[in-house]
Amino acid sequence: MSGVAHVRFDQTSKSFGATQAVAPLDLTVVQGEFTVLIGPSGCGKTTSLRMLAGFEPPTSGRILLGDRDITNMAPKDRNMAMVFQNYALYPHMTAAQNMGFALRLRGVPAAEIETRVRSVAAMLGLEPLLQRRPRELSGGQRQRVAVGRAIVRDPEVFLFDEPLSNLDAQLRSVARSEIRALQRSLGVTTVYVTHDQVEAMTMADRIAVMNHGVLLQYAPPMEVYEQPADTFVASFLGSPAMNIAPAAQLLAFATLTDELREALGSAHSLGIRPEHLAVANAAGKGAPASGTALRFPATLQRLENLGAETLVYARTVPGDLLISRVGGALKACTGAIEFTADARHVVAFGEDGRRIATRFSRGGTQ
Amino acid sequence: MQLSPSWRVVFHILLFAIALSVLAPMLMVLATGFKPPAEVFDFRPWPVHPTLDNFRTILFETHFLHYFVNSVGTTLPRVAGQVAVGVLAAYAFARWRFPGSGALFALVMVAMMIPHQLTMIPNYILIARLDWFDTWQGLIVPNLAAPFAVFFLRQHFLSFPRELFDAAEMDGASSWRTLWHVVLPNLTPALAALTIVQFIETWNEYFWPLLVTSSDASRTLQLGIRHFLEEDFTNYGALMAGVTLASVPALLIFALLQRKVMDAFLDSGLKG
Repeated sequence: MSGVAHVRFDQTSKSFGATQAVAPLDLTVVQGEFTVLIGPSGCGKTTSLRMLAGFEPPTSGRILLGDRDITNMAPKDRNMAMVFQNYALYPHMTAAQNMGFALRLRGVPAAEIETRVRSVAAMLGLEPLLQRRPRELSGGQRQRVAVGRAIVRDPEVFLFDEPLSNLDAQLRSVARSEIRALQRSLGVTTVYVTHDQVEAMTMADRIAVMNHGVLLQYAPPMEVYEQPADTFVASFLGSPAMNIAPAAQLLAFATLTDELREALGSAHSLGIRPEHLAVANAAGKGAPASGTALRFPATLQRLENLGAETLVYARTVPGDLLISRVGGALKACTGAIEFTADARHVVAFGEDGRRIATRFSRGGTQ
Repeated sequence: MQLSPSWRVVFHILLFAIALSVLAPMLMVLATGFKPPAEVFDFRPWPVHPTLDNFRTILFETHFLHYFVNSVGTTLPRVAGQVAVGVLAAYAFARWRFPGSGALFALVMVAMMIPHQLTMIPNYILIARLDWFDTWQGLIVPNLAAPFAVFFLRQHFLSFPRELFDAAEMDGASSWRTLWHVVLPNLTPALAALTIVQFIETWNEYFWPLLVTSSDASRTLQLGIRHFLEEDFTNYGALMAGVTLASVPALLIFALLQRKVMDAFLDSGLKG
């Protein structure tokens, strides 16, 4: 991993009574990078963020900021700022007072608070709203004020706890790119918790996928997408999810070269992204095995035409339902079809669900 | 549920009767206060020749004003104490789990359920030992903390968004500062409601002052009015004028603070 480590979880764990929320976690966030913690609810991502913020003391392990051990430091001394899911704006204060509250508590002179609040407000287009109270602001405006409140403090690290989950879809996509652009221009190390894979894919420099308190994979978005560490990551990211079928079943009825069969045969299950699964046209149907091509028959179940693309749902001979994403509208598709895939895009998983390297796959578990 | 028109008429007559039975005594008190002595036993519910003489009599020819001062002087610190102790205790119960917090809160609940009559005897003995009999502090101090206030405010603190506590902590506010600058400014409706309830309860209290007061030095208004009767004070017009005046502070508190409570429902700006 290149770059300077800024935030480091060092075997940090958290248990609530007998329940382990976060298993000993090792995670390094690089200076200036945007790291997204993602996973289903209860996966430990929010608990990890709260430990980093200082709201939850870890049960074991350490948290480092630069080379300082901040494990037992009070939240206010960590020089981090957080944007909360419900924004947590103080209802009785105006937007300006909300943004300046932390500075006021630190004893920053009123004139300087005013200057800093104004400059951040200008950056976020909040100037006309500064004298309004939270209840007089729309959801999007509140979210902006919450981001402004974080920026005004000029922190070392930004923490975001699902900050866009209360916005409608349209606002969310605007806010996504705004937050990302803002973080790039400020260059502040950011840890962002979400369960939304679109946010993770579009915003992150690196994605940390968690499940049941365990970090499963920590890598740049495309790497996580193309080379998922295990079947959980494979099915969690991507919509529709990656097709995963038992290898033996899939290969039993497939047409492929002996070399390819041998390479893939060692896998317990095989994963193919819907966009890498094509429907063979009439000419290609029944062609002999060659190269890295993998072909197998299937029975069409239904088509979902989304305009720009069509989702083809079909069942293989052993009965696995696979989804193929095909560009444009698909016409003249009959009951019996043939799927084709390129082995270079097929991800092989071992019996334990973890990805294994094959001679045809790109990369592999180290 | 839709009632048939005839049933609705029946119910409205019933409701009207109930309302009248509540209002009639009050109207009678009010009207009698303005009646000259000759009209006091008149069956008409309104004064024929209204007069302010009764008010003059009760205010300047009796100890009414003295009792009034006693009532105000003991009620205000008592209510202030109940709200202050309630705020601090409830904040601790709502925010922290400390050793024994569950047991302590259970005690508060028990204290709320035990009838006053049971705790009066030990309190009475305590007051007597302290030599506070027939003094203001005898009325104030044993009642400085109200279990209901602790319970009521704790529920409000518990419903306060947890994220706001976190945000305040991150912004660098101490627990104390969070209470004063973040929590309380947003709970004024709850404080107003509590103040109204506690004020009216204290202002109208009869039994405890009856036990620990014996002279004009500390006798409160509610007892004072009763005392007039014991002294063969038969000017019922003046007595009713006194009753009318005695209910003014409670009404005033209600009128002043209920707006705050209403505002809270109109704004409901806490969430989101």
